[in-house]
Amino acid sequence: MSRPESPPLIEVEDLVVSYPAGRARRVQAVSGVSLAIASGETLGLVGESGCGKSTLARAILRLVRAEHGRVLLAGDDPLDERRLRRRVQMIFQDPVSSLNPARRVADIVAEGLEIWGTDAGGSGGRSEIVERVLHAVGLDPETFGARRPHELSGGQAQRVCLARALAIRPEMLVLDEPVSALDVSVQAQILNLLERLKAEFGLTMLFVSHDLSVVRAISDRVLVMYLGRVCEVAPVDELFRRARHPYTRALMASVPGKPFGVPPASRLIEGEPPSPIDPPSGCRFRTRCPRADQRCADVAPDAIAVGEGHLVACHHPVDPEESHDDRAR
Amino acid sequence: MPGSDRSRRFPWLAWAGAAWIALLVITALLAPVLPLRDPSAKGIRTGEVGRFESPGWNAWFGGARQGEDQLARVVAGIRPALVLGLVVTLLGALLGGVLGVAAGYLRGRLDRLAVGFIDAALAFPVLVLVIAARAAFGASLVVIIAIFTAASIAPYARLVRGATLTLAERDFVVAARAMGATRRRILWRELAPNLALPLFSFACLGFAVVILTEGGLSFLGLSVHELTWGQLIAEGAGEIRHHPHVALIPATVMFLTVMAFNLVGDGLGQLGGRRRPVTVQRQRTGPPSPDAPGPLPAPLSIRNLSTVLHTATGDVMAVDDVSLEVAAAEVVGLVGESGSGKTMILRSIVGAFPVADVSRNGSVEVDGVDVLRGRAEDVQRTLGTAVGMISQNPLTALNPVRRIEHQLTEPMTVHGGLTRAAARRRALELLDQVGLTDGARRLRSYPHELSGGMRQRVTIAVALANHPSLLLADEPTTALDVTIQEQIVTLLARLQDERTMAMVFVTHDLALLGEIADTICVVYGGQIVERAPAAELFRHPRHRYTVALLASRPDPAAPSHTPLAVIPGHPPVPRPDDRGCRFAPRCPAATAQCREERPPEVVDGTHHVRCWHPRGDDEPA
Amino acid sequence: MSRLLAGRLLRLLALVVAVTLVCYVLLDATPGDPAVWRLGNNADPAALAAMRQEMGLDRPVLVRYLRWLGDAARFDFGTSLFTRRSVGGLLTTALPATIELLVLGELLAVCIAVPLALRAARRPGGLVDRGVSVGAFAALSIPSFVLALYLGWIFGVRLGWLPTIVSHLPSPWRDPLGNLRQMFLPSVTLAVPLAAVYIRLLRTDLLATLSEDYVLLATARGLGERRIMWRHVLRPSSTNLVTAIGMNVAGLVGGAVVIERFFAINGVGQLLVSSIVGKEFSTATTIVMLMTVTVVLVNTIIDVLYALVDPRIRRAGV
Ligand SMILES: Nc1ncnc2c1ncn2[C@@H]1O[C@H](COP(=O)(O)OP(=O)(O)OP(=O)(O)O)[C@@H](O)[C@H]1O
Ligand code: SF4
Ligand code: SF4
Ligand SMILES: [Mg+2]
Repeated sequence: MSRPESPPLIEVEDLVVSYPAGRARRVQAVSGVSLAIASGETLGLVGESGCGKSTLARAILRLVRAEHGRVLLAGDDPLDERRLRRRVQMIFQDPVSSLNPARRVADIVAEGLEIWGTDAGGSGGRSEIVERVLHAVGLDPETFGARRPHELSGGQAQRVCLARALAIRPEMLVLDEPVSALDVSVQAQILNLLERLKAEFGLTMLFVSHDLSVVRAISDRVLVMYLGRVCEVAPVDELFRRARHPYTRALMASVPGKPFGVPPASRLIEGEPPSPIDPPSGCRFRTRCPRADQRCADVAPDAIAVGEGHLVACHHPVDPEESHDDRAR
Repeated sequence: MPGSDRSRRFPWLAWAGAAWIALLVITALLAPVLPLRDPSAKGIRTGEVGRFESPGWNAWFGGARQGEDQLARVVAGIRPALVLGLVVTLLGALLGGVLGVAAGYLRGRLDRLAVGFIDAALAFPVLVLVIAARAAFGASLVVIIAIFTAASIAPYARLVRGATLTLAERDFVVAARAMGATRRRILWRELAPNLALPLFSFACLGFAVVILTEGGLSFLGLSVHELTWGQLIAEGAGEIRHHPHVALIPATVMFLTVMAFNLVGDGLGQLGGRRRPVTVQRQRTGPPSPDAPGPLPAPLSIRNLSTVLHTATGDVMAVDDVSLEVAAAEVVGLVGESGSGKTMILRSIVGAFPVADVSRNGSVEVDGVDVLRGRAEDVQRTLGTAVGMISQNPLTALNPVRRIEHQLTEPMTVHGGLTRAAARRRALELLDQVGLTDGARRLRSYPHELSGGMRQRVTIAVALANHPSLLLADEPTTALDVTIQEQIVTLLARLQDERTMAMVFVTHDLALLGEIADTICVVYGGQIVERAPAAELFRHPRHRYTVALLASRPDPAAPSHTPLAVIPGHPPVPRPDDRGCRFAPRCPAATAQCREERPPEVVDGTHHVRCWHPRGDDEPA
Repeated sequence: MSRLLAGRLLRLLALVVAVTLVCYVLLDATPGDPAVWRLGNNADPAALAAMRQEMGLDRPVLVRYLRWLGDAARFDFGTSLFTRRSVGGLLTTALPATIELLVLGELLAVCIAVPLALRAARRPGGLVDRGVSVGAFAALSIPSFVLALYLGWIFGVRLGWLPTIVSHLPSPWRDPLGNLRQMFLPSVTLAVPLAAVYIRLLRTDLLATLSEDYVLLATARGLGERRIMWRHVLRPSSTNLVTAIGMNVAGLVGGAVVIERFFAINGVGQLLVSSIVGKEFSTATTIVMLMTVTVVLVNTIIDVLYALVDPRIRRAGV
């Protein structure tokens, strides 16, 4: 789906973000990540907790300061972070707590219009725009406009967050685990809504999640992270059919019910992710990787192209012919 | 209903406090037109009030040394008290609030300066300030107000700074930043409205402190020249033996006023508090259910269990007529969305609830012991030996301040009858069995020193300590990453198999149950709406909710961007007076009958379903 | 670790200098001339000047302050302008009673607060809880001299069990019972409002802890209620209580003045008041310095205590 002719809307170049970790030490949450998202594309970002997904998402909006690297918007570096935030909007994991408990839904949705002026929302006055976006996310403005956040269910609150973001007609949404806090039956509603809004508003999306099935359902391309680094990037069908990185395979094999058909048991990885304060040398996955050897400990693998738009950072990528569906093994 | 007035208790007392304050304000305003005597007139000279006259019709509050009318003096004391309190509180809250917000939100050098100032100001004795300023500028109300204000800035600043720091990290403030909101906007629109209530509540308490402090200063003879309550009390204190009313009446008025402000402040604090009171439970159990318990002593046998939580927002029917039998070595899975009642079914077995007031009806037997109505010692012994429990969040399932050793050996020494040393040996074995190496060192650890997966292994070890015949696992893997989840599920399956334990496994992930459960129960609105052997349930789901749930997961075989099947609406909060089927508002097959009458339990061999119109085998899934 | 300590020490010194300087300058700004007080209003100007020089009052305030500070650094806190006694000596007389009062008061407050809060939190909204809560409000709202008045009247005048005035306080080491008899009412007076503060704090924190999974699991493990409350709930709930105990110290010395005055205890509080009123620069400033140092020291001890109460804090480092 990535169309080479359209210029990337967002480019991240060699981004490094670290947090203070006490006693003058720092922990690198993101260590040298590069990626590009084409206009109109949905990039899925998966990885386990603490791998730096949220930090990367926040760094794109400059909510955390990057130590190194830069983020380009449509080819140039927006020096003013507020201009960036006008065009890129963010959705958070916990919808209820990302709404100001002291304000009403209609005011919350109108927040962007107050900041950027009513013109940012297209034609019509403030209340018209608010009604329009509330309708767009499937909420009745009459019923919900006057409610306060604690009077909403999780799914409704996430719809309000979407309406708030869409009111100023952004080009892109950065969604940090937007459905993880929701009930299973409500997740599907929000995912369908996202697909519809994407078409309706012509949106580009970065969709962060730890749930492979959800990412598979909504993304055009998928990027897999481990401990602050990129493991593998590929178009969605390619990735789920021909994953090359041992970690990607391990992730797929761990999903209950084995929906992605990776041979069980043989791929069960041991141990737990090491601490990001003191990451392993060389390849960061080597402490849990069944294929690790001395080279993996010495040299950090570079991303190599193994197919159309398919990059893998591994010294010993898995043979794609080790088919996912080979359950006999 | 017991407990229902609990939520209204504070407002009630706070209202009483507010009424007292209103009475004082009105009296002070009306003082000039009320038929009161001149507070400074000496009654022994005018002959109106006698020396130390007792309270009575002539002088309601009695007379003082020179026959001054105490009622008039107490009323005259209202004004300085309120003016002092009001001005100090307003100024202190304003200045301290601004300083606190600025320090907490802008951080950096300003914050360090502010913290330095707060530290110094809190360490500086107010008394020195009072005496010095009084000597320098005289003992007027204005001077006292100025000093009290200066002294109250630091506490307000500290409160507001702390609140700002926590608020600034909250998602909605980050969200506003991500919208491109300016600093000033975040300050005024996001922070200020949420700071107002705690500040106001603190201000009421501060008001009380001001009045108390002034009283203390009067007693030391260090307050203002004006007639204050503190002075009236100090003056009367010497006469406490023979004329107690002279000191006690003003003291009572002062006490009531301080109490009123404290009550109002606390009431406001309650309004803002999001913490719900939670506690060890008082439980009420209904009469035994008419069904006599079955003859088989299964590890777990639940009959017609209903659990109602009496909460501030009304009664919740967390468990509604649940019957469930778990045989030895059987793994029963409970699946449902959040709030469906899965956890409450487990909690009802062990009698540990998140709210204070709970009623349980029906019967629950563990190894043949009635844990609902048995004697407390029997129940505790049964729970301690026959049941092991694992909870969802490994981060909070272990006591953060006690070593692993204590937590792991406690069940063995309390209920298992082991000595310390024997328990320690068993503990090491257990850690080994749950796959934790280096057991001796782990025993000395505190929970925060272990990773999430390791902690969950420890909670499993604790649950297994006394060889339970029944393991209750409440979403044991939800908080863990998929790769760790797989490790833990494999471990649980192995242990269950080795020890031939019965296990109840709760989760919201149907696919996960497919891997581990023999029987699956689907829970919705407090009821088990469908129960069937695992394979059967996946192949022939009969309840409409189960069908919809299976369909709403993304299909790994379908191309990406395929629209998902959706269940409209959201899960209900089950109430005791609900009629009909709780799934009816979301059900595609609902009829009028579904909305009016409780669906019957239809049994087809091992397949139970509670539905008026279960899906037939020929219908498409 | 040593860098950490050095940083703390530096902050303490800065705080001490700031606070004592303010105190010294404030005192100087108050009207009244100690030399006049000493020699009387009609003394002749030459004698007054001589007296000022003798007292060291002829030099500018900053010079005098720096001199005091320099001496204080060598643990020489100066002498009283009037009695000529050394400030160190004055403090040695006044300190023991005040320290005893504060320690007894805090101890009593904690001993009252902990069991009551535990009982109240077991059944929130129950009879005990309501009673304790209303009682705590009343205790918070009663001025300490009114409380002292009541206590003295009941136990001293009516029942005659306890002395209402502290006189010739025996040493707690030599005659502990006689000492306690005298200090009992003052300590109770100090403890009652403190206990109320502690009860309210602890009850809230206990309720929060009670909703934690590990407490529910302890119940599920069949442990008894008493064991759960004391073994599993109390310790993780007491960090705020420990903080409050530490933060109170500064305020308490002020609060103790009223109690010292009421029960005629010759303590530091009374000494402070009289030295400010009498423009005793050295005495007042030394006491203020002592209070500041105590507050900081106590808070440092509290930080260490934290780590004992809650091992999670150990790793984070103080
Ligand atoms: N504010 C912070 N201060 C210090 N460390 C942080 C902070 N936020 C995140 N980290 C650390 O940075 C690393 C990456 O965190 P991040 O939140 O980006 O992970 P994530 O993949 O989004 O995890 P999750 O799925 O749990 O949300 C983790 O080790 C985390 O502990
Ligand atoms: S580089 Fe080596 S350790 Fe890293 S994933 Fe590839 S094979 Fe495994
Ligand atoms: S009883 Fe009626 S409403 Fe309920 S699930 Fe069955 S068909 Fe649907
Ligand atoms: Mg995250």
